[in-house]
Amino acid sequence: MKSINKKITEIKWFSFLIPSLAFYLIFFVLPAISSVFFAFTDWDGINYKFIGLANFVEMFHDESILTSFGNTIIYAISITFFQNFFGIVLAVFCMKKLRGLTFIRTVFFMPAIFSALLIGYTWGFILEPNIGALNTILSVLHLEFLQTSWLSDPFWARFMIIFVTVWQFMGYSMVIFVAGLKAIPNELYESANIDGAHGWKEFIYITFPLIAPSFTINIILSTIGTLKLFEQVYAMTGGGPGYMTESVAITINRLGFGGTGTRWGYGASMSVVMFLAIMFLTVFVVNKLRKREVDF
Amino acid sequence: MNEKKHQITINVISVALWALAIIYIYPIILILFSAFKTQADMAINPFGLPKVISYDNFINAFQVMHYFRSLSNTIIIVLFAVSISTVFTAMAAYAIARKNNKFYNKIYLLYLGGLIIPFQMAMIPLYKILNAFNLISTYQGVIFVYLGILSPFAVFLFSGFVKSVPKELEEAALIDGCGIYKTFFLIVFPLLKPAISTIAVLNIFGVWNDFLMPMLYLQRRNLMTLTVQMSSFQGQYVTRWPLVFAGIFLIIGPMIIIYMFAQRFIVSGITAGAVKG
Repeated sequence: MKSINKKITEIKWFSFLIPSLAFYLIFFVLPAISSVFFAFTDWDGINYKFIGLANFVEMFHDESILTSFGNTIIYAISITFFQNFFGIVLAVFCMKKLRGLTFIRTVFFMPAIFSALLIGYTWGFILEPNIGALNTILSVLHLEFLQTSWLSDPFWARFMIIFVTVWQFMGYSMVIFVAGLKAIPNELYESANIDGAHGWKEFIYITFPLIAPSFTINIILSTIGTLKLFEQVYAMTGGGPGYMTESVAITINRLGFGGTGTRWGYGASMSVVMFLAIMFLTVFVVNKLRKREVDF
Repeated sequence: MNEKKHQITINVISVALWALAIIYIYPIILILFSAFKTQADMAINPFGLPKVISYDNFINAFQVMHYFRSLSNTIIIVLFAVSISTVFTAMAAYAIARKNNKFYNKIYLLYLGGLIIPFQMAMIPLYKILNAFNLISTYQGVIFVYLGILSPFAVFLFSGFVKSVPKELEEAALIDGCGIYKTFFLIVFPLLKPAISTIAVLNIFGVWNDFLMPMLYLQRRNLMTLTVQMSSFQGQYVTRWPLVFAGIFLIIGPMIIIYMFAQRFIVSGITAGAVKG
């Protein structure tokens, strides 16, 4: 009797999981795992047969895919670096007793709450070559020789995708760093000041080591986020000129749902590479950066 | 003397940051300015204040982006996806945090794994699954997908929060003959209020701003959400910038209002994951 009751209780507990778990498995985990399976096939949406590693071999001979991987690495490294660099700088300034601090923080964080697609369209206008703000400002400053079609030149288009993404999300990093900075006890700074550490030294020896947890999470969030970069590229360049600014997410979308036919097996194999990259980077970053974290 | 010098430094930094903040936020202000300009004004004065305030862009934007239709689509999807997901994930996180045995820890890891799975990996097979259930171009289809993809982060935050809620209340309720379900819905769920508001607000923004998923799975024009509608109309009217900006303004406007009221939930949501790591 008692064991039956216990079983019923167990079932009741398990029933708490079912609603969430069912949707999570059917509409996310299952399709994600089946991508691993389809990565080894030539699935076109209807039929498929096994082709072994052919997709992966083709991928590393495909100029457009290699460009897309290269771009994604460039995007991920530069966005992660600059977003966190400016995030820390802003956060340190935002810890000082400044006038109108709440306003300043709100302003820097605000772009992060908007759709990256709409932000992309807005910057698309600013960078527009004929009446866009950037070229207009350059002409007012008599710097016409610097004017260019910002989003049609592969180098500048990549640069602007990085710039706009950093602009939109550095406030997000700042908020996390501010939380980390607030957790540092004031006494540490006081004793550091007594020992003669001020300004830059104080930052290197006290602040930077002690915000390690927020540093870890920020690096992980921005790395994962930028490896999945989609809307910014979609809105600003559409991947063009040609495929020169495509990110992996854009390429997968083109292979899966673009106008040139559906190569779902090939798209799936790219998404598997993307997942592996995210997984290894996360594990690597967590292991490396966790070591830096100290208790205080 | 030193104190005075310090105060001057602070003032200089304040002024510099204020100036920087205004330049920084200029692109958002530009959306507002441009939305009220005429096409002719826009051509000669692309980034200043509008010379004459014109509401035509809004009237046109309302029509071309089927604003009320897309707005209601977005609101329906946001409301159902966020509320159902919040209840479901709170339940799952409650069981995970309270049972805390091998099996439930494995389930927790299964959820954590979802944090690093990119949507791109599920995207293509998901199309097939939705198609098999006849869920392409339906509200339910998109809502079901959100119930899946929103769950890892919510379970992660909720389970951390549940662990900080004292067990005594639940134990007392159980002794008084309150069943597990009653205990959860009447006692635990209300205690989770801070976590609920944080997660709900973050998810409202996430779903409102989402673009790729609804673009792929909501293909009928009368079901499109605001961002999807915007992208299709931006393509057609690419040279009519004031119109495009009026459209953008109509989508970000509601978010600015929510942001002003819910700012602290957003900040606490972002930092909750961060401080615990």
